Amino acid sequence: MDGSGSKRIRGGQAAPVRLRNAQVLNLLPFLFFLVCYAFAPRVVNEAQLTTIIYIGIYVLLAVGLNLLMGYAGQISLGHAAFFGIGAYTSGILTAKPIANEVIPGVSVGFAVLSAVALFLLLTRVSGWKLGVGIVLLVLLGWLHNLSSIAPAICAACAVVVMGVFGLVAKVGWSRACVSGAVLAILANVSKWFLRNTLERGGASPWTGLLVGIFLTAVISYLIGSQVLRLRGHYLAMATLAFGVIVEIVFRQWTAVTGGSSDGIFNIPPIQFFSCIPGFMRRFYEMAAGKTVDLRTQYYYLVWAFVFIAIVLAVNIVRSRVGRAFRAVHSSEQAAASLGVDTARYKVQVFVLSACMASVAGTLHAHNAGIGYIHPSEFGFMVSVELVVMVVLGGMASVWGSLFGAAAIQTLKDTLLDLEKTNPEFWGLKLQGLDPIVFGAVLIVVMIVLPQGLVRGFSDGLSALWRGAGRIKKQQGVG
Amino acid sequence: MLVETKALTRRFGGLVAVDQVDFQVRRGQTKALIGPNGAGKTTLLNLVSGLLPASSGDILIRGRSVVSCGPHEIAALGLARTFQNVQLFENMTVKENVMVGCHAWSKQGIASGALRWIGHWREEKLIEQEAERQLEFVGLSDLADFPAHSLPFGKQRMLEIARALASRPQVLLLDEPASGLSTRETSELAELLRQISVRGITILLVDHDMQFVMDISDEVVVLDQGRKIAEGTPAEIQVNPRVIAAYLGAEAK
Ligand SMILES: Nc1ncnc2c1ncn2[C@@H]1O[C@H](COP(=O)(O)OP(=O)(O)OP(=O)(O)O)[C@@H](O)[C@H]1O
Ligand SMILES: [Mg+2]
Repeated sequence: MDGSGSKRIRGGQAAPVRLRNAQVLNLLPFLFFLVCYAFAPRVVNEAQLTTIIYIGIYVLLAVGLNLLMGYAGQISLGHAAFFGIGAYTSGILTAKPIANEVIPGVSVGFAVLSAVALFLLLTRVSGWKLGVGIVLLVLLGWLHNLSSIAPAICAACAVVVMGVFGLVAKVGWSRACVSGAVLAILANVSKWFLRNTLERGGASPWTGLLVGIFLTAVISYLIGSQVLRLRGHYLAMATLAFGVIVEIVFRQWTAVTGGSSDGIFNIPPIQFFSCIPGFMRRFYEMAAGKTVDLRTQYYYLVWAFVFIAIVLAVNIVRSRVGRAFRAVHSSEQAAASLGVDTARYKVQVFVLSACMASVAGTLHAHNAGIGYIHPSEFGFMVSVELVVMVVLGGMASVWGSLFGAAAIQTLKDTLLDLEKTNPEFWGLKLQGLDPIVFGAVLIVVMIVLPQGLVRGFSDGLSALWRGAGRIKKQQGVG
Repeated sequence: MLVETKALTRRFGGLVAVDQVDFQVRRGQTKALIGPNGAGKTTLLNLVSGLLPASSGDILIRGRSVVSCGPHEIAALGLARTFQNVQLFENMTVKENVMVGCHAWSKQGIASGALRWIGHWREEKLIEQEAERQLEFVGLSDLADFPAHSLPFGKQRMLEIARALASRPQVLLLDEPASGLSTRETSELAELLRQISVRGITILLVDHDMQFVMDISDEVVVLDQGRKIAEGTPAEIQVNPRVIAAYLGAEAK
């Protein structure tokens, strides 16, 4: 043991120098990224641009999931659900406003979810207190659904009942009161908002984006705070179940989501260029070298989000909270003994990555020239694809996720093209190949490149580099 | 009293791993907890640091009852620890490991880290300085940028101590810090612990190396089958018949 230790030490004397260089080098990928971002529309054709837009959406998803899986070490097999919640919220608000007769129910449901999340966040209760709190909030929500009682009375009821419950259950009366008040406020505000949206025939996509993020944050907090107590396989099963349930809701809740026969169509694209100042518009036009059509605008929008997501992710990973995430990954006990509130950080990273998925969902729904969503795009297979992207790109590697997503998306397109030619071998029709191929990719990567594409290659390269350096040094000495 | 337990008990099914234990750690002292294998020493440390819930009894830190607190809350009160089976963050560098140790007293949140607010830079600098200081203290400065898992075992133990110190604890719990160390490394460790004690940090340690324990501790508590059987200065413990019997009994088994 001693021998190998001292060898490691000797090899490491160059390390501090390498680190200082690395801080400058760290900016290089971002610069390279920006250059590619600006000039890509010059070199690619229409179809390729569409693919690149899709890749961007999946990179957003993969980067978010990597924070959760690669850094904090918590698996999610239901991530497509949050993707779907973002897409559906935005799609519904902009293209298929909720019908008048469903509005009260939907707004109360939304208010109850938010109030329960707030109640949980403020009081951090569990067990019977949580159960009673939820039941009370649901009943109070139901009260708001009765049109015969004035909203002010409902609101007073909500505040008083929750306050009394808070006193009796010793969870802090003021906190309980706040959640009651928020229930009342949100129920009425969202009723008003949904009616208003219906009258105007749809909200703006930006509103959709924000509401989607908010709803996703609420739902992911509710799910995460309960489910993340589980570990390993149990966590995988629980998130999988959640994903399946959400997909079923998309399919079955026809009055709101359009169900599985139609989906939602005619979702308007986001007019990126009408939202940015003139000089930026001119800059984009210069970079693209042509008048920027809707598709190209959308490309610029999606990849601007990707850039922001990557910057934020890289920053988070190299910060106090990011270190706490990684600490939770390798030893929860040690992390907790150093003052890391493991439960809190696990929920935090879960919500963060869900919100990133929600943004990706909104961008997916408003995709220029497509504007169509369907439940099957947010099913279990998509969640699995996302996991494969993260693993292929490399766990705990933000840039890796970019390559993982690009590789899988390209592979998917290739398979689709292949299937269009109706290939047949010895009477075996090759259709619906993705699951098989993805499974194979996952297995091969886990065995051959457990660190993922990027880390695997860069390790290989640096091993070569170090090898060359050693030879040079030996020659110098000799 | 810095740390105090009252009739502390922990059961695993039918087994009573810690049985009605009362003991105190005074501020500034170095106290040792010894006992044969399976006596319940690690369990006791886990209870005090909040990693295991107690079955009954009470734990006070600086006079405050912490039996219902989580480990991170206890850490925030100024208690840090190391583990019998070293638990490093293997996917991080040596320095990053110690930087996680600074978590208890730093407070920048996720938004500040993501957006690189001024507070982030300011605090990050403090954290880095503290980490470098602790690494230098245990003599690991030149290995700062290596992955933690690449260190030899003895250095891993040192890293764990540096990481615990970075949390600026008032009391440091060490679970068998000398196990697996060579004689030379053990005497270096003893010297290090003396310096830590001089800094004003209270130490509660568990170990099987009697010479090491008797050498550095002011007071010794002996645990056998979950029960406290003796407490006193090292000289008293060495001649205590119950202690000798417990150890001989353990050897006879
Ligand atoms: N999580 C657990 N579940 C069940 N039994 C346990 C658990 N942890 C410890 N024990 C039992 O409790 C008893 C005390 O164990 P503990 O690890 O505290 O002993 P120890 O004094 O630290 O021993 P050693 O010197 O070998 O480290 C042992 O009999 C052990 O088998
Ligand atoms: Mg032990």
